[in-house]
Amino acid sequence: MGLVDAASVIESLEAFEPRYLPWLDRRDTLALLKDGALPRPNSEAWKYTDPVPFFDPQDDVSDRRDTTTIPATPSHTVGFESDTVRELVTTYINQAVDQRRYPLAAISYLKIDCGVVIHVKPGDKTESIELGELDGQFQRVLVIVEAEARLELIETTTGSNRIVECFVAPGAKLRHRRLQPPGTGVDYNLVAINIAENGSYSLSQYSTGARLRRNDISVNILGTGAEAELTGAWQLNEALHLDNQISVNHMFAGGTSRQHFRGNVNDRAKSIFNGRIYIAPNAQQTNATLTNRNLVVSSEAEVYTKPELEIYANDVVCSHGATIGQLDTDALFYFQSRGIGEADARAILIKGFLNEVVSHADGRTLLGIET
Amino acid sequence: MNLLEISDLAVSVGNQPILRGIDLNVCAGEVHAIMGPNGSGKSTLANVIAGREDYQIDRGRIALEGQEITTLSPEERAHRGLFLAFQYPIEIPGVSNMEFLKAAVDSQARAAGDPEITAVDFMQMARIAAEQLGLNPEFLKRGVNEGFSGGEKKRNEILQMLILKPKVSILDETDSGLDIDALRIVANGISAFTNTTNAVVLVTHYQRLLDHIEPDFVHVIANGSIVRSGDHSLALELEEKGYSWLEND
Repeated sequence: MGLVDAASVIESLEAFEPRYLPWLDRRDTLALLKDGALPRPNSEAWKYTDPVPFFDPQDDVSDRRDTTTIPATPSHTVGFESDTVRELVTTYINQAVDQRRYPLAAISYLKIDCGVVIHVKPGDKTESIELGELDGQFQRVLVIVEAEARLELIETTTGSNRIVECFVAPGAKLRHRRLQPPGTGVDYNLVAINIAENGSYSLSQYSTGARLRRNDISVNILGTGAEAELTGAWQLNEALHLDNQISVNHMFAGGTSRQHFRGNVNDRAKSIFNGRIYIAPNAQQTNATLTNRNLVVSSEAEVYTKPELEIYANDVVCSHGATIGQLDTDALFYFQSRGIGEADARAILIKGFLNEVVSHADGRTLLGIET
Repeated sequence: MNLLEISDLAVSVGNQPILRGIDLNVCAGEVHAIMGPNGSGKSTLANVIAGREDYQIDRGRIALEGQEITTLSPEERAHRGLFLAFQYPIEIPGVSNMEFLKAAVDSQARAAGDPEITAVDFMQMARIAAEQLGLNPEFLKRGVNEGFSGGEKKRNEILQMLILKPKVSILDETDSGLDIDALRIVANGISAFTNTTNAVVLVTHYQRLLDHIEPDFVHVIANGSIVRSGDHSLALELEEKGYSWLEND
């Protein structure tokens, strides 16, 4: 049964007795939620997605896929239980997540029942790790890429509640790909990334929707020369829902960030995008861009997009743009005049539109735009 | 035989008449030039023949090989052998020229009940056509018209014509945006394409394209009507006198 008001959510969380990682200190997190951090319906961050169903998600068995087997490599360990990773966990957990801003991640922390640590040692450049479905409802993935190391991380599904925390050390590179197949449940995802000086993080996120799916992405630029490149594409059909909320926080001078997201929204689907660039007073010489382009091919589909800039430094280059449009009738006529039927023309044009931000074959397959 | 037959075609946009009764017969093996000042209705005529929906056909008919096509979709007209080279070719980022062309060739093969051409044979055909127009075959991998110069866009239109092999090609100001060398290459491509079974209609402001492709007939449109028809000498006369003497007739 879903919980409908904040008081009963808090009550239930207080009564919750963790069986997994009982040694984690949960007191501050609980205090923060009691202090009123729970998301309120119709608040700015939850304007188009009702947060209440996320408070107590029911386990959605139908979304489960095969349990992944993670290849045994020296650099990473599965599970938070072993003593070897306990120190890493206590050092890093919640260091990239602002729990007040992301209260659903706070709930997830309290109820954590599955953990993975991926730890790439300094200078190790050979890692590629694929992460599939994990056996738990409140999943936490800690990704630590040490100095001058490299990691390619591929999530082939993102599950119903998964918090991924990434730490990119000086000079390290993390290439992160996420595939989000259609779901029937209520999915919450947060990817929170801390990037140190000259560190580089790139995200390629390919999404479909779920009954409700929320993707929060929070990037902290924490050193000179740190860079983040976030790209994403989504294809929404039927009555699926996708809410992407991105915040790139330039906390230090001389960082670069690029955000480029595109979506195609069909049928009665609903797409929400909020892209924020925050530039702190000391983050001079920041270079930050953001674009979101949307195609709406059905009169019943809904698209909401909002770029947000919060700039407190005066020597920065920052640009943003968001569009919502339909297929260009001139382009359609061009195709038809060459003998390409309207339905085929539409499919090729949509594919071309999304392809601008899709650079992986598995992403194309997920979005149904294979060549 | 008449490949393209237009009789008493009147077209308007909103309540504004653009074409006021056009008659034009184009037979196999012929090259026609349609000339006229800006705003005379030349491009409207080209687009209406190709089936663009933004226009209201008030009366008249358009027939291809004796079959009325006025109610057909643009793709059905293309399947029957009609081709329009656009005055302003559209840029389609994210779709390669090759993919676009292959989709067009496949669609036309399906409509004709022919087997689809293999990717290898298609590549070969596209390469030959590209080279004929002085285009680097690498150009086929680029997005459709994306970042092309004006001249490249126009050459790309002719490339499509060479590959699709239409019966009737209407080339809407294909010469504009071409420098002298490109004009000659494009004109040679068009000339080499024409034969006794197809026909080309050149829509143009200027006579200079006609120095390279000798037209059998020249028609002048002014204020939505064909006000004069003649042979190549008419185009030369227009070059000398301008259009105003005909508009004032």
